[in-house]
Amino acid sequence: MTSEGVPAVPRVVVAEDNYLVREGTRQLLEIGGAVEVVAAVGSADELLAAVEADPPDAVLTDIRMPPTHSMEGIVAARTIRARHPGVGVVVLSNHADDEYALELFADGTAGLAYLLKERVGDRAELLRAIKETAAGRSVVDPVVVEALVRRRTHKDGTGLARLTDRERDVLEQMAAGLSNTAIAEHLFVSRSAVEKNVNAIFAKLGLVDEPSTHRRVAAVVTYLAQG
Amino acid sequence: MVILSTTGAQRDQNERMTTPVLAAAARTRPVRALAWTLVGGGAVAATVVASYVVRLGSGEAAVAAALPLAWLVAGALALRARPDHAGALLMTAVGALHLGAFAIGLPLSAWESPTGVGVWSASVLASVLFAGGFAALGVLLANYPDGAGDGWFARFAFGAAVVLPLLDALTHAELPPVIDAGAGGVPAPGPLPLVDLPVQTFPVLPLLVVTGAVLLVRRGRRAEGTLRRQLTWATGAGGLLALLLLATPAATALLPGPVWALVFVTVASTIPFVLLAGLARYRLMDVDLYVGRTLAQGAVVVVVVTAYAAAAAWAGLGRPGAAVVVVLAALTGGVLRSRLETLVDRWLTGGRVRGQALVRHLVETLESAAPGQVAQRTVDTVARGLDVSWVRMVLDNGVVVRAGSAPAEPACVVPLTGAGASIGTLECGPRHGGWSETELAQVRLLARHAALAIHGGELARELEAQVEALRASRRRLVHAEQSVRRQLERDLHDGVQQQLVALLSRLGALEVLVDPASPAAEFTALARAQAEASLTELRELIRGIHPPVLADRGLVPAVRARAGLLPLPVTVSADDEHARYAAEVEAAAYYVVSEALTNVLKHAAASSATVGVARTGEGLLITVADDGVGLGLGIGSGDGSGLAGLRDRVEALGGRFAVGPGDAAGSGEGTTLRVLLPLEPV
Repeated sequence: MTSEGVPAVPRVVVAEDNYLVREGTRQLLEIGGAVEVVAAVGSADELLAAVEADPPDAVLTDIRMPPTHSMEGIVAARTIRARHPGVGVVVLSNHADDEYALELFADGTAGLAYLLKERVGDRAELLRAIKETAAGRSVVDPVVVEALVRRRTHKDGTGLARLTDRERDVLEQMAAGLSNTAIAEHLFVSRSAVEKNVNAIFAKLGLVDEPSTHRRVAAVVTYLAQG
Repeated sequence: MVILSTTGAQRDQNERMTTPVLAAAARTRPVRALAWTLVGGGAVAATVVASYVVRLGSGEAAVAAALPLAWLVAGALALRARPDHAGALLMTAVGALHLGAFAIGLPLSAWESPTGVGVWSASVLASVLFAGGFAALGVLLANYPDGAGDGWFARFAFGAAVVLPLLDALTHAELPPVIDAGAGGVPAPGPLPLVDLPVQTFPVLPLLVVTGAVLLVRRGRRAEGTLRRQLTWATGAGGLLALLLLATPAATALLPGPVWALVFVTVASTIPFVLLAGLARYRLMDVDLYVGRTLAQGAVVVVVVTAYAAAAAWAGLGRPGAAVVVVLAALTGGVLRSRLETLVDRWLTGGRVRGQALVRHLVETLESAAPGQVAQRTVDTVARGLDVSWVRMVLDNGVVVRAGSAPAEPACVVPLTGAGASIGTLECGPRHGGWSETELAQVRLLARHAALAIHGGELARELEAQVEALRASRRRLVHAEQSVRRQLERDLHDGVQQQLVALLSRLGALEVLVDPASPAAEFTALARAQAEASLTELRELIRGIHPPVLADRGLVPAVRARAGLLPLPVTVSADDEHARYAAEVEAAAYYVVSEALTNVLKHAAASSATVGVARTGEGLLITVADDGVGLGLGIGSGDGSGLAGLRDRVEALGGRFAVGPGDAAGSGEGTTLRVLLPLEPV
């Protein structure tokens, strides 16, 4: 895991209107002093105020919050990314529909992560997303990537439809922000096999292979989010 | 239906109506003597005329004499039926007096050079008899059918019949012709031409007939019931005569004199018999219907013939020109006919409708009336049609409508019964001409029609209200269901879903803190996996109840998300990706698409599907098409297809629902579902 420009103990703001979830998340992150939660707030306005007052390395936010309980978290995420390019934003969502992810990535994918709330129990995944976004990279939940891929498959008969099942698995891992090594470990295959798959994917989708992992995520997500 | 009360006033009126007949009966004996004297005299005169006609061989005279003979015969027949009737007497008088005039005039005209006081006296007598015939005709018309009415006119007419010929004879050097069609006048110079006036008074006599006819028509327009029917016969006769006179100029120009004379006399001879029919057989046919039509038809014929004659005579047109004129006249006549018929009918009836026509009129009126207007239309029709001073309808539901003012004690009360149950009463005030059984029967008939219409209207209103209530209730149910779904989604999200997330954060912490080598680590990992699975399952459940994306992002994104979950390529096309509609519309549209796609997946065996969302002038049009096995095998089949529920939901919201064969590409294969949802609140 790379950590260019990201402190060893990232400073994080948590935004979540449900007290139990907010406290549970905060305590989970603070175990062992891996993260310093500088503020834990219950609404998007408070989140923006906290970020303005003292920009953290990353933000962990819910989507549905007061006052309208619809998409405050996504709006706040894009506002923060526009005002503070150095602040990564991890959006925790109850929605598996790719529509929300597309809305989040409308201005670009850099420094943004879209994770389902199931990941709240996976401390390692949360820490990884915080650090990736703080470094300006992107993370997309595999379930959402799957939805994006399915949508593109139906839409585009020549690109994604020609991927093999294995290549599609690899693509989803790529979109999730994993390196070739991590993908190989995850799929129980050799690294060289993953590299072959990656090359095939880029050829079939007509994308230029990106050497760095984070640029690769951006390319894949951008491709998936098109139209 | 029963007449509940008949007032004394009405009985009085009925009695008054019959008074002239009773008065006529009181004069029976002298009238009868005079009548048979006239018949006898007329018969003698007819014999004399006949003998002269035979000797002279004059066809014109024979034709002219036929007319009074017709009067005499008709009069005699009338006397046989009603010996005491003044009208019959007058009919006889017309014939007898004219025949007498002929009997005297014909021998005089046959005389080579008639001179002297005797000739003069006979000539004057013939003129007086001739004028007397006209006077009798005028009086007959003026008082038809009773013959005994306004005394002043009879006195004036018969006085004039005596005085005017005398005056003529005394003031002219030559006597006026006794009869036109006869010997062409009497040239004998009068012995006492006091002043030789340039104007003859004699032609004034036919005016007596015209005056009588005018009086007849004036009464006819006010008359009711039996009298009306009788007068209609008389009016028909008068109209026939008027038409003959109008046609004469044209006819004489076109036809040889004797031929027209024959036609004239033949047609005119029917007039006394028409009057006779009016006296004795007025129920023979529905004359109301025929008189107007016949007269209008006759008028058109006269117009056409006159136009032709005028064209032929004055413009000197050849045969083609005349043909054009006739065609034009006929065309004009065709247009005029119905207009004339209406005019004549209205003129005859004074804008009132009677008998069957009255019922027909009411039924037609009720057909075009809104349910709330039926009562008012009915009372108006009865009041106007039967000339009733006031009519009031009192309905059991408290509604009271009336025509005319100041209702006093009703002259008759008719119950209104609809479908066996009383719904109110119809009350009528006194009427012009009194109430007879005929009018009462008409009112009962009208009341029956009106009651049925009112009852039917009330039933229709109730039914409409019930249907509207059911419709609204069905709509509320759908809305309530949708709102319950939304609330349930919120409750699940805020409650159990968040609890699970909080639980996950705790399990995640536990997993980190527990020694990875201990057995607890394994159970912790299992517990977290189960909690994650629960959360995923809960998300799917919530999506089925009410997808959050629908509220957050709108219809088209929700449809796209739904389509994306299917193991089937679904193309979604929308005219506006980000359009937002009312929550009810979005929810209904979403469920239409969701349910239809589920059907496609279950039944259609399709390889692809398309979804269309478009806003039209009528509402939101949702189209779901597949390329599957089509109707019969696919989604249109069994009741388990869920389409019935979908249809219910759509129609409850006031939308339209159609399933038909053919996919979006128009290949004729597959099935297409079309749903139109109103965008405005119903």
